[in-house]
Amino acid sequence: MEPMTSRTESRGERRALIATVERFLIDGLDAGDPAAAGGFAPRALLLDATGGTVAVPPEAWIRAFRDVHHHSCHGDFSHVVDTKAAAVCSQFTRVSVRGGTVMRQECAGHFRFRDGLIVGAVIHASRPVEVV
Amino acid sequence: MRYESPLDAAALEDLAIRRYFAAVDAKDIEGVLSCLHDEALFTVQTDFVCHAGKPAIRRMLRDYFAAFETIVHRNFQLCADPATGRVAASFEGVVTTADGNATHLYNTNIWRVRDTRFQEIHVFMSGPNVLV
Repeated sequence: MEPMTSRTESRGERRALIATVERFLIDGLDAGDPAAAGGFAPRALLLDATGGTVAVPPEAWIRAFRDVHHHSCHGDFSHVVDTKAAAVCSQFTRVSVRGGTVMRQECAGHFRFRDGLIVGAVIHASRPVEVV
Repeated sequence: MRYESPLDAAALEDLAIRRYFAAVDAKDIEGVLSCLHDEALFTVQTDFVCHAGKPAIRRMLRDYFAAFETIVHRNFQLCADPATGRVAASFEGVVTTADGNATHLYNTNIWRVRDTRFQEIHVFMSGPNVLV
């Protein structure tokens, strides 16, 4: 199913960095496309700062995420893009179904790149609150 | 929300690390508040807490500084984006009480700058909220 989330419009160097991040969140986590993990370097580290777990490779994190979140939507993106440092810090909202309940989390992801691929990511997520 | 700011990347980094965090670690309330607009919003996104305006932020800082003997922020990973007036950092925070109990946090802050000061501060914490 085609994800419904609106992607951020951008140009030039910013565009590639933002598109890789949004591809991971929308195509990878929301749509379950493992190819979205192709935006990561082979030895990339993905740290869930809230849960304290490290996932290598990122495909494992996508699988683990989808075991917990049945249907998810990442959106309301706000990106801080540092082309000189090759880093993106993204703020976004996650709405997902967990155990039959629709929950919302406020999240941040700090992604560092080398040669256009993510080499490290730190993800923070708030405690989930029920959407009523 | 995007604000206008004349600060370049070096100035954004200076404001976030050498002014804001230096003042926090020195428990210098006036130094911290000098980085903020009067109507600044300070939100702990991972705990759904918002301190609105300098008086509320001053009260939060006073309690925070009183609760801990030492406050140290280090190992910053910066992301400065002058095009949008935003700067972000992932870092380690170590807060230690008078009886020697230390709490380690791995947080991400996203600051939105209007003119030359912070209009919004968004904090994502890896553990319990110490900014209440």
